[in-house]
Amino acid sequence: MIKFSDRLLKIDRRIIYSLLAIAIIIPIFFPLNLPVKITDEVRGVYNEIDNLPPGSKVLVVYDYEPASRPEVDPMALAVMRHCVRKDLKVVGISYLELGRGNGENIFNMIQSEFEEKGKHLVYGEDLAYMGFKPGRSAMILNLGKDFKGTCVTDYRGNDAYSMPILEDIEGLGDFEYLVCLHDDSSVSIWILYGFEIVGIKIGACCTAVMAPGIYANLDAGQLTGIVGGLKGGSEYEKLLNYRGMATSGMDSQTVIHILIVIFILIGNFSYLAKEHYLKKEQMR
Amino acid sequence: MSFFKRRLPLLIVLFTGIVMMISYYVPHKPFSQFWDGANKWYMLIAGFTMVLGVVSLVRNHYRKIRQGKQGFGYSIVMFIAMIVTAVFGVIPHSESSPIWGNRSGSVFMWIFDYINTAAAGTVYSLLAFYIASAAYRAFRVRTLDATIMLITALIVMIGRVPYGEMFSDFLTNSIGKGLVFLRLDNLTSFFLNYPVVATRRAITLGLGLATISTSLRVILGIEKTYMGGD
Repeated sequence: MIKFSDRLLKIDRRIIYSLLAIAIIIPIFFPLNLPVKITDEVRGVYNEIDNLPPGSKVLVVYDYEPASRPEVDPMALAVMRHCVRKDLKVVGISYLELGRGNGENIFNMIQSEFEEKGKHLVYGEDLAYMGFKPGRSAMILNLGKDFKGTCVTDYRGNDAYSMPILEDIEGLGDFEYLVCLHDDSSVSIWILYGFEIVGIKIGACCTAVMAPGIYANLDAGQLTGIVGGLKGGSEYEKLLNYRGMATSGMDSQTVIHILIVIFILIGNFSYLAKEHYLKKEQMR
Repeated sequence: MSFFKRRLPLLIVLFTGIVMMISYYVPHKPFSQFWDGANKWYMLIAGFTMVLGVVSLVRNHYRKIRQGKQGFGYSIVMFIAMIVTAVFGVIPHSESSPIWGNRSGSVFMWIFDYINTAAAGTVYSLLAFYIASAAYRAFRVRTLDATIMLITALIVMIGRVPYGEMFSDFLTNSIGKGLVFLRLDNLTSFFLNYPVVATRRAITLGLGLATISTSLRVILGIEKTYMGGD
């Protein structure tokens, strides 16, 4: 028995890696179509956007690095689709140097997707992407007072003062809602200088690893909701009635979670069995 | 010399720190003007720190190549990548030459999508494999603390995926509705909304107090390590 436990405890890591790779790949080709239950946290972001009257302005912040794209891009697409379906006007901005390309990709994808569906979105009128602006907390403070003066130009080099979408925007408070897509703690800075000083409502869309850390902000009413990880993304997709990247990714994630739980259980049973038999032998 | 090197920076920090503190609570002239001006200055300086970063990177890697240090080949790759990305990104985009600039379809965005994102995503996704292997080898019920952590982790891991919800549905349907509080998704929500929030608040309050005390030490000239001294 000790030998068997020992063998299980010393299992080759390549076997674990191979099982994991199989668990990731198979659900991609054979979707499990698992049911998705909507949580209050996700509904908090969805309802806030859904209740905005057409023509309202939403600021979407792209504060995530390329490494987090598989997890955050589905949420970014879902939020943007929701805004465009509701005829809201979307302005994008990035607080991270590496996040600026993510915003450019998402804006282009949404523009061409709706173009194919017959809905023509005019850049500068219906949506605009300001790109990366340096200064972090000072940048947010400046946006709060003078949005156009802080941005000066958009990502494409257009003059912010001549863009119709920004015509009646003086500061951050003129936006009806802010969605922060992030993979670090940047949402805390937006809460500190956006929500607390200007009073703008904020919804967070973040990687699963960041989500537990901002539940305190949700509890304090500083956030209207949290869309956390692929799970949150899949819930948002369900609310919008489509099966996107987050929903298909959840199949793989579900299988991996179960597999890791099985690994942990096997590892612990083997450990406890070995300890038990070693103690027994010592008693003899 | 000592005045310009040591005392003047300390006086600037003392003056700026105190005026910025007052400006936050007194949003009227002249403090509001100082506040706005300082924030604009901060943004400009933050922009220049990137130039400083590039200069420092170039100097560091140039030294490695010149001295032929181990791994200097990577420095050459860094230079090529930096120059190619910068050249394609800095030259403005136009309809006649869409490969320049930072718009979709440019070489810069191609590098971002197919090199930067792909490489960063690959490294990040490797974490899943390491976590699985580490969980199998190191996540043991050795102590009471470790056991509590393990049980919580298992509940949250299963409770956050649809199988957990299906399993909970099966349990509550077959055993009884009275056990609804034991549903894995409800337990996961409980952990995230109560113990996690409480812990997080304690950490945030601690961080806030530490930030205030460190800031005061810097403003009052007690903490001088940012000047390069001790």
